[in-house]
Amino acid sequence: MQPGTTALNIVGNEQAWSQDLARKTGIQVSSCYQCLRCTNACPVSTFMDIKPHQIVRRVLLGQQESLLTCSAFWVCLSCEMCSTYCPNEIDVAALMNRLKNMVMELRREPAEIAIATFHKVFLDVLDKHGRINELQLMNRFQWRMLRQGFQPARQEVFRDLRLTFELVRRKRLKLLPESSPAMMEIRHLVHHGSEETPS
Amino acid sequence: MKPLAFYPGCALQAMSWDYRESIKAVASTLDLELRELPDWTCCGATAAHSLDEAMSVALPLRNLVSAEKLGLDLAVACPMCFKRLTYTRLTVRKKRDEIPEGLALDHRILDLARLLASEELLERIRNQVRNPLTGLKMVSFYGCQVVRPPKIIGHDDYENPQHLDRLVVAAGADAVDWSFKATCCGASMGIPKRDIGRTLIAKLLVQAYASGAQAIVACCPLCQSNLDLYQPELRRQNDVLRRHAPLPILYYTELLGIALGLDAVLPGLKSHLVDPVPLFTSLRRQGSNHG
Repeated sequence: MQPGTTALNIVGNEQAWSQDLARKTGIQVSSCYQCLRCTNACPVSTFMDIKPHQIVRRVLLGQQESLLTCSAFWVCLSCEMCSTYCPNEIDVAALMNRLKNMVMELRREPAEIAIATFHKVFLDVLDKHGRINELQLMNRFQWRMLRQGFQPARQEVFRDLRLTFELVRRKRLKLLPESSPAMMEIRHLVHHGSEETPS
Repeated sequence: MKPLAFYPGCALQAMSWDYRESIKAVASTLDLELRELPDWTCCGATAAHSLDEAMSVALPLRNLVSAEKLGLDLAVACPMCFKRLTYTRLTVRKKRDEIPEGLALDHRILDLARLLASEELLERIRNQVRNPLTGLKMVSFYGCQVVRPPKIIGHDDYENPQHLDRLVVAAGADAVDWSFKATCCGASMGIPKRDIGRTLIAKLLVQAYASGAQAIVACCPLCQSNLDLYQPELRRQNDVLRRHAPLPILYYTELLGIALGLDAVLPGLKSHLVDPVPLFTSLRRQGSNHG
């Protein structure tokens, strides 16, 4: 080898991940030409650590480990602007979703604990009643955050309490949750259905 | 028109009971029979698909099974539920071999707002308007779930949806154009991430004022709650918002209820944090001065 040149250190197929993803989900990241339409359409890209087009790129480059520690896909609102406007019909929103699912399947720590906790608490309430009750959802979320060491500011606590009071007064928050007659079926789904999760 | 199965969704039980009551009142006036699924369960919303994709299909599917037993098309009030149910139907139909035994999935899933804006019902509305809301300027807010992605929703009007605007016009009000019809309101992100939610909501309110609207008409319980419930808090922080009167956020069914003269929608209006009643009282006063 001539002096000054560097040999490529090829250790594996960097596209194995994206190829596997395309086969299983139809999400074709290799179609991306980095036009940034997804990022420009995204209403929350300013709140993301890396942007939607960069997520697509990292999947193509097979950078799974570093990508799964990012917060960007947790911040995603699933508004589907990216998927709707992508000129190459890459389902970017579904990709964001797949990444959240992967973090859960691999039992990693989500980069956005508050957002992941909110989703988990939602499924807890769903499991318990088959339907969602907003007051239960809020209470459980706040307790779970406190238990994880997140202390809300005094001012926020007062603001939330005042809003809660206003909403209870208007019957928009119900103290007693209503359960679905099909509650037990839902428990079965929540506890057994998820075993069939596709990888 | 044949009776329809009806899926209300969790929000209509408590937080958005005003939407539920206004749907009942408007549907019965228009002779639209809605039969609520007796054993409906939550669609799983964002939480299920974020954490467990398999569950996000399994949860809506059991509701589709339940609707099929009634043998009717299914009308859905909440955009999020509408999209999850529609997505599930498409996904399961694609995997023919996995369709549960005896399930045909051949009934339609209808977004209630689009249904009311169909020509047949629109004509019934026009014929029954008793208090036309003449001179009232309204912007329509569709949010995300009933317009995107078009492949799932089955309509390609995502750039400029118009069904709510048609309902506004049928109620006798002026539908004002704006560029934020289908901009995300932040959904439930305002709970775990206060800043993100508040930023998106404030932007929408500022743009609604810029359009000259006096009120916003919405079709989604989460959008309505976001735009209504956080207004008092946002007004304390935002000078632009404080320069205007608080902006009432109405469901299309509440707006229709007022135009159709249905007293049953009035208690629901009082459950909003931004009380819409003064706007309609002043409108009536102006109307009687001119008339």
